[in-house]
Amino acid sequence: MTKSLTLALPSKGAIAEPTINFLRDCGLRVEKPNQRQYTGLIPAIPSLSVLFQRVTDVLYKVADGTAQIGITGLDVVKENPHNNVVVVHSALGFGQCSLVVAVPEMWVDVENMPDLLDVALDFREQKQRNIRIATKYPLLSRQFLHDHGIHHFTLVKAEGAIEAAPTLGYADIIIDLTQTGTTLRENHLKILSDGIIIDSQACLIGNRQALQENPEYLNTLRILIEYVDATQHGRGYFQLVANVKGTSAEEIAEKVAANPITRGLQGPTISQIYPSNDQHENNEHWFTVTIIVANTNLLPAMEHIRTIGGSQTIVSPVRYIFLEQSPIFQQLLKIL
Amino acid sequence: MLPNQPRRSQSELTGRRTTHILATLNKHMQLYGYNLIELPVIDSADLFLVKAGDQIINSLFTFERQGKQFALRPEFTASAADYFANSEGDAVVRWQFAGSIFDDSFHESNTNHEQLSIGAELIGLEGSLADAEIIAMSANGLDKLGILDTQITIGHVGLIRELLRQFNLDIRTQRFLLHHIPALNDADKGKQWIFDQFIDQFTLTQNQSGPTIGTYSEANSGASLTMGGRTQDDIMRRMRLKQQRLADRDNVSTAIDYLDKWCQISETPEKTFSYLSKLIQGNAGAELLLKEWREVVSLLEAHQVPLSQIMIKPDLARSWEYYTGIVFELHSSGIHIGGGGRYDELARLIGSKAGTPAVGYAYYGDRLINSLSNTNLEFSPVITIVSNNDDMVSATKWANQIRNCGLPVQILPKVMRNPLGTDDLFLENPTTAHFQTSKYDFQQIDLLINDLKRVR
Repeated sequence: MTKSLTLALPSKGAIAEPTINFLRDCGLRVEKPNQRQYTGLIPAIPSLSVLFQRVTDVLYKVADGTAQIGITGLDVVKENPHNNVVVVHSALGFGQCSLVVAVPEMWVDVENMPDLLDVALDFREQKQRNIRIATKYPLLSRQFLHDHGIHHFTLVKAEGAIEAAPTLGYADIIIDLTQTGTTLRENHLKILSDGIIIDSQACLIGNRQALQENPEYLNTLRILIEYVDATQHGRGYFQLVANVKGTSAEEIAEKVAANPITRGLQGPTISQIYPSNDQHENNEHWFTVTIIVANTNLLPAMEHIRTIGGSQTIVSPVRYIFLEQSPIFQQLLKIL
Repeated sequence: MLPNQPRRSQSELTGRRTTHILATLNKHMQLYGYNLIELPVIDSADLFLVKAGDQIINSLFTFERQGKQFALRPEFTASAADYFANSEGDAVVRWQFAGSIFDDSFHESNTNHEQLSIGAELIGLEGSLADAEIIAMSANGLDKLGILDTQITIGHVGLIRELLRQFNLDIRTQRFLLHHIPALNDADKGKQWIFDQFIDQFTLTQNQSGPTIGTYSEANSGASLTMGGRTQDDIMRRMRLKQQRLADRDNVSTAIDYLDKWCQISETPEKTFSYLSKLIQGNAGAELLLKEWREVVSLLEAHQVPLSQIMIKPDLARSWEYYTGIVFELHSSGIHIGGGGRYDELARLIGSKAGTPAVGYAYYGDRLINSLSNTNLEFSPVITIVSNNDDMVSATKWANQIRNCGLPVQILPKVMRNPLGTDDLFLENPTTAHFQTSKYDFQQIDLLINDLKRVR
C-alpha cells in the first residue's frame, strides 16, 4: 500500500480560501468530508491526504514531520527559518503582499531608511529611549533594521491591528504586511521608499528529511508539482484554432511561422479540412491552424492570422502545459 | 610509548597553554593592582550594541526571552563599564578579566564561535598616566609570555575629534567621518567614495521631495498633534538639521581632504610628533592633546617599553565611534593579538549621567595560544596507583592521603597498566605499597610522600 503524503493547508486567514481555489484551478479539488474536522482529501491524487491548520502552524507541522508538505506564506517561512523545511515552490501566484516599514504620514522629514536611522538616533539622544516598532515579524524586522544601521530600537510584539499602534501610542512606527497600502493610508501611515523587507506570496514547503528518506512521498509530491507546474505554465498562454485558406499545408505553415508571435511553442499544427464539393474553389483548400500564443500576444497574433486569410478563429485558455520535465521538481531534487 | 609518558591530545595541549597564559597574565596584572572580576556571559543586547555599533552587530549572538533581546557577550568592556556604573565602589578601579567571548558570524574561516579574551580595564582615572599604564601592561604581559617581537601601534581618536571641530560639523557627521577613516587607505574606496556615502546616508540630494521648512511650518502653525512619539518641533528641528547638512557639504569635503592628509602619517614617534605639531599649530585644544600623547610615549619608556617597538599611526581605527582618546594595537609576527584604548563616553552612553574616564585593552586569547604553539610547556607529572588485586577501596584511601599533601594522583585498574610504569605506586595489598625499589606500609605514608616529592 502506498504511504500517504500529508499536505497541510491553511484553515483560516487571508490565504485559506485562495489556496483551495488555487488547487481547484490546478485540477486538485479539495474535499472536506466533515466541516468540523481538520482533515480532507484530494481525489485526483489518492496518495495525498490533507490536514487543515492555522497558517503559521502549517510551517510547524511540516517542520516536525506531522505533515510532509504544506502551503503557507513565504513571509511565515522566512520569519521562522527551520533547517528541516525546504521551499519547494516559492511563487504559487496568489496571496501576494509585502512586509514593509511604515511611519506616520506626519513625519514629513522621513522618506527612506537613512532618514529613519537618523530619527532612531534622535529618539535615543533627545528622548532617552529607543524608537518602538510594532510588528509580528521580529526576526525579519531586526535583520532589516540592522542591515540599515539601525541598532537601537525596541520591538513591540503585537497581534491584530498593528497599523493602529502609532495612533494608540504603544509604538512609534510599524513593520507589517500590506497588499495595497490602503489600510496603512487609512491609518495615516506611509511606506518608506526603500522600506520593503520582503515581497511575499503563498509557497509550497516540504520536510527535507521526510522527502529525502521516502521515495513514495517524493513521487506523490512530484504528481502534485506536475499539476501545479503545468497549470502555471498553461496560464500564460491561449490556444488559437483558425481556419485558413491556401494551396498546401506547407504554404500555410510558412505564412503562420513568418511571424514569431504565431510560431507557437514548437511550430504550428496544420490539418486539412475536407469540405463538400461545392465549396471547393480554384484548387485552394481550407486548413485548420492550431497554435499556442502568449497571453500578452493574443491580439497581435489574431491580426497576423487575419492578414494571412484566417477566419472563424477560436481562442481557448490552456489548462495545462506539461514540459519534458517539471522545472520545479527538478529544482527540488537539486536542493534536497 | 611507555605507560608513564602519556600521549597528549591537541585539546590537552591547548588546555595547558591556556592555563599557562591565564596564570601568567593574572599574576602579571596583579602586580599592577588589577583584580580579577567575573562578568555576566549573558546580558542585554542593547548594552553591547552601544559600544560596538556596526562593527559587531552582524556577529552578535542574540536571542529573545519575553520580548527582550539578549546576547552572549562579544567582549568585556561594555559589561565592565555597566558594572562600574551600577555599583557603588571605589572612584578608581583596576580590573582584569578572562573568559569566553562569542561570535555568531558565519563564514568559512570562522568555525569556532567561542573565543578566549583576556584583558584589563582601568576606570575612573584620566590622563597619560592611565593610558601609559594600560599600554605598557599589555605589552609587558606579552614579554612575560615569551612573545618578544611585539609591535605597538598607537593612534589618537580624541585628537582627530578635536581637529574636526574646526569644520563646524554636527556630531553625527563627525561620527560618520571617523567611522569611515579606514576607507581613506582602501584602494577601492577613497575620498570620493566616502563623500558619496555621506550624501547617500544622510539623503542630501539637492532636489529633495516633501515640504520645505517654510511650507511645513505654515501648514502646521498652531497645531500640536503628535504621532509616533515625535512632536512637530522634533520634525522641524530635524528638517533644519538636514538643511544645515546640505549647506555643510563643502565643509565635509574639506574635512575629508584634511583627514586624508592625516592618514598618510605612519612613522616613529619622534618624526610623527614633529610633523603633527606643525600640522596643528595654533589649535590650543589639539596642542594640549598632542602634549599628552607625547607624555604617554615618554611614560612607556619609563615602563621599559623600547621605543623601537612603538609606531605612531594617527588614523588607527578601533571602533571609532566610542573611543575618545588614545587607541592602540598589539601585533606579533604580523598577527594582531590585542588592542584597546580610552573610552570616556561609554559609561554615559550606557545610561550613566556623566562620562567616566576609562581605558582598557584585551588580548585575543586564541591567537596568544597559537603564538605559543612552539613553546614546550611541561605537564605536571601524575602519580599512578595500581592495585595488585584491584582493591579500589584501598587504592582510593592511599590516593587521598597523597592528594592531601598536594601531589596529583590517578588510580588505574591493573589490566589498564600493563606493564607497570617505573614511577608507578604498586599496592601489593591494602596496607603495603611499592614505589621504585622501596616498600612502604600505610602507617609510614609520610615517608612515601617525602620520597614521592623528592623524585618529582
